[in-house]
Amino acid sequence: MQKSLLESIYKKYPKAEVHFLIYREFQAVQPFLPEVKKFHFFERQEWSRWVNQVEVPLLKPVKFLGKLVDELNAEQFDIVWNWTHQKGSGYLMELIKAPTKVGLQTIKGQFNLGNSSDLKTFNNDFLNLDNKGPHYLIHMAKIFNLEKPSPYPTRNSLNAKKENLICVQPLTSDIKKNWRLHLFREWMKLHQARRPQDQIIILGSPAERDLLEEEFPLNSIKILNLQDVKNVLTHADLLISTDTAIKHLAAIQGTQILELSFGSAQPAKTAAWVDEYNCVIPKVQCWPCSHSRFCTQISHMCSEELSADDLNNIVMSLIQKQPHHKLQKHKNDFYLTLTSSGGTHVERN
Amino acid sequence: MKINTQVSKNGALVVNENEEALCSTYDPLHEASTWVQRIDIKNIKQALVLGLGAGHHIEELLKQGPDIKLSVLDCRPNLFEIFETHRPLIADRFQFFCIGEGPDLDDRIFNFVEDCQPTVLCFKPAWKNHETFFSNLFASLTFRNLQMIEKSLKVEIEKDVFDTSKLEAQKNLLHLKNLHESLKDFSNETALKISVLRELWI
Repeated sequence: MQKSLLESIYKKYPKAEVHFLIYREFQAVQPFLPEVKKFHFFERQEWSRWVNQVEVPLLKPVKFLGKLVDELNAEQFDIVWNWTHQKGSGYLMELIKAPTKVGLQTIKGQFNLGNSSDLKTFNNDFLNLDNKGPHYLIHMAKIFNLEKPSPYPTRNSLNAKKENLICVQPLTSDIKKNWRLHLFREWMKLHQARRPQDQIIILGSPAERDLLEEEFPLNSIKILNLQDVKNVLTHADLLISTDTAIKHLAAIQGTQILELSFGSAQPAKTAAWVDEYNCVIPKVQCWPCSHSRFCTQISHMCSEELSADDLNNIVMSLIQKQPHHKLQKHKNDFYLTLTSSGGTHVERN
Repeated sequence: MKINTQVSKNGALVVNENEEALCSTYDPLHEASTWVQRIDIKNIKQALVLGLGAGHHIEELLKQGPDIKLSVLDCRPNLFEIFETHRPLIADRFQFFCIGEGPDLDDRIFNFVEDCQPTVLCFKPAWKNHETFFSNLFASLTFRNLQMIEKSLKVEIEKDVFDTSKLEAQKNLLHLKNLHESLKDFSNETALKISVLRELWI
């Protein structure tokens, strides 16, 4: 999502050498960010294992974090931006030495939002469990005094008169953000009955293979790495996705996106940064819920009221390029909302 | 201390100390293989095994994790001689530490653990006759006692980064959480590092 913000940095500091500090498990993003001169890695999974294993010396993660801090300080950065909003990153900001540090950080171990009203507003928005904008990228551009990033243009290649390639990313890392797989399968059958000429590809990671193979025809499943997903999305006319990183990848490729925003997804804040965004949002009171907590309901109410038939109608509307107003209301409590000019605004009924 | 050897029921080497076998007398190879299977080998780069015994578990660990930098610690020097005699080709593939049973950890071992931060593995069948010693050693080598924390964080303790009365009051120091709960000066670098890592145990 922040790739577009990176472009704003280079506009402001054309000669800058930008480094990224990311979790090791996300290292596969490196080829997608050629603008980044060097990546540093926070070994979250390994250190988490160490912290919780009694046979590992108690201070080992502290010592290895120290090595990372030394590695970062050896770079002698002029500016450090904290693009995340996690407490741990705030403490880490204090450990990194630089003349200018912007974003969430501690001073003498205490969180301090300073005089930045933009940071305070962002902090409040971050803590609020709602689906109200502005989008995080708008907040961040303000906090870091950067130009508002331009949204990625959508190819708009969906067309009723041709064979469309539709990719589906059904699973997320968080069960409360998923739509049931059998409903995706049901939708797939409905769509294929109506438009047999379209090709539907189900995307998944190696860890998701077994679940997908239980539900979908084997020849429709593609278990791919990020680079291969990117290649597929380059040719795709539509991506139907739950709240995953794949939607951001599709945005960069110009693929039209339909997001199913369940659980803790807050598209007004974290939608893919495109000029036209399609999004199904639930109207149940508990939505959106907390990212870090389990669903508090007996069942996942927010995703249960969308039927395969609803999704079929929405997709057909997109293919037939119906005007927005015809798409806004669907049965039950679901709304399809189309946004434009930055994807920052999600209408609510 | 009387060390001797015998052959197990299925023909493998068994080492005894004062008539107590330091591995299974029935099938020590199966015992070694089961022990190694329980270890998360793929995530270990450096290991320190407490207890040499008859060495079958060391041979198996070297076989299953050839890239692991391995050290073995025991209080009985004769055990390594037996290992060398029976396995001359692999005896140089690990570092052997022999230490006495005194209350303090010698500096050589402390520095090794400080520098290398190995995963400490317990082969308990080889602990016979010395269970308390090995058990205390495990707590020391994983820095899960106050004495080792004070030694490792000497500067921070002197600078009052920790509330020592809180630290001493902790029933045990099994987790970084226990250290975090005893922090007094949150602006210190070590305190900040512990705070960064806090997200890993929430």
